[in-house]
Amino acid sequence: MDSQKMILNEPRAMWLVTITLILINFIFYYFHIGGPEILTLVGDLFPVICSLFAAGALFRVTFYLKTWDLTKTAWLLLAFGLFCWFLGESSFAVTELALGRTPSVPSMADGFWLCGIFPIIAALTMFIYGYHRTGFIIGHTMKYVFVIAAVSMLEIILISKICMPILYAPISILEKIFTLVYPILDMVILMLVFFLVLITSVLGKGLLSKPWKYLVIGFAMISVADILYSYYNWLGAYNTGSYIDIIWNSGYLFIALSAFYQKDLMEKY
Amino acid sequence: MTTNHIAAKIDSYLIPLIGELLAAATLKVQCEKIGTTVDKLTPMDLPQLAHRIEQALVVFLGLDRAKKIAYQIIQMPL
Repeated sequence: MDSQKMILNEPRAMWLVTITLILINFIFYYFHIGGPEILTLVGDLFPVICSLFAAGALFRVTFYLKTWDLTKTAWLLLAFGLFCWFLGESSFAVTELALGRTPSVPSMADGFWLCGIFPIIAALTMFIYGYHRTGFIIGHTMKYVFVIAAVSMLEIILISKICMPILYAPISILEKIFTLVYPILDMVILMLVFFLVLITSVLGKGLLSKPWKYLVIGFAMISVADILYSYYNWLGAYNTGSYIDIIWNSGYLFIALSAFYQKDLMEKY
Repeated sequence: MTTNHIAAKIDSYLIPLIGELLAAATLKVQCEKIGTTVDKLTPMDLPQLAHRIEQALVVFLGLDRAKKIAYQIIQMPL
């Protein structure tokens, strides 16, 4: 066997970490090892660990990008957004583990999560704009129209199923705003992610496409998990330890993987 | 597949990065932008073409690495 293939480089090591963490997470959730207290502990700590991996890996990429340009700004915004999400996860974990209560909406954690969404949207938009500026082919325009149409349809369903009932629910204005804003902004992220899917499909199996592919998978997972969370939380069917958490954690780890591939790519050139 | 050996060299350099389809398309488009075609590419066109490729790669690799690749294209043995 080729000796090069045997080398455990950083992306491969990160793959190993990703698979191990997801497996451990799944085992704890499936078998409920140690009872509800341990389940809450795992449910609170895993998102902190996974988001820290993502934020750390993204900050490391910005360190390797020497010149301050659109690329560095985009990766830095991503890193900042993920760091806000890490603070959100940590704040949620501290409230639930140390204070023994689930934070009510809007909590400090919500503030951090919301703060993180905007730089992430800006970063993904910069990647799309940057790609458009390259002059590379972008594929059929109809595909983009289809994505916009599909996401708009999803948005309508989401608004009628989740947002409208929340709007008329007997809860505070602040709680309504925070509960509504998540699914709406997640749909914006999801649309940008779909655009990036189309772009990366044009890039094919080229080395440049790898970081974006994993970034796309990561954000798609987080957005879907967020939307599912909004729905189940509204039904009162969500608790820490739900399988939705695994989708979130996997999303964070895929974002970390993307950063590892980006760093690897930059080291090669 | 082009018969021009300069274009073929650049193509072989770009394929691992952006894949076969995009490498061919990029070369074609960028050649047109500098007023030539893939088959008529000469060593004189290399600096201009490399600069255009550099601009295209910035979003993926950042300015430093993109410049490095452009330099390697200009310096590649023909």
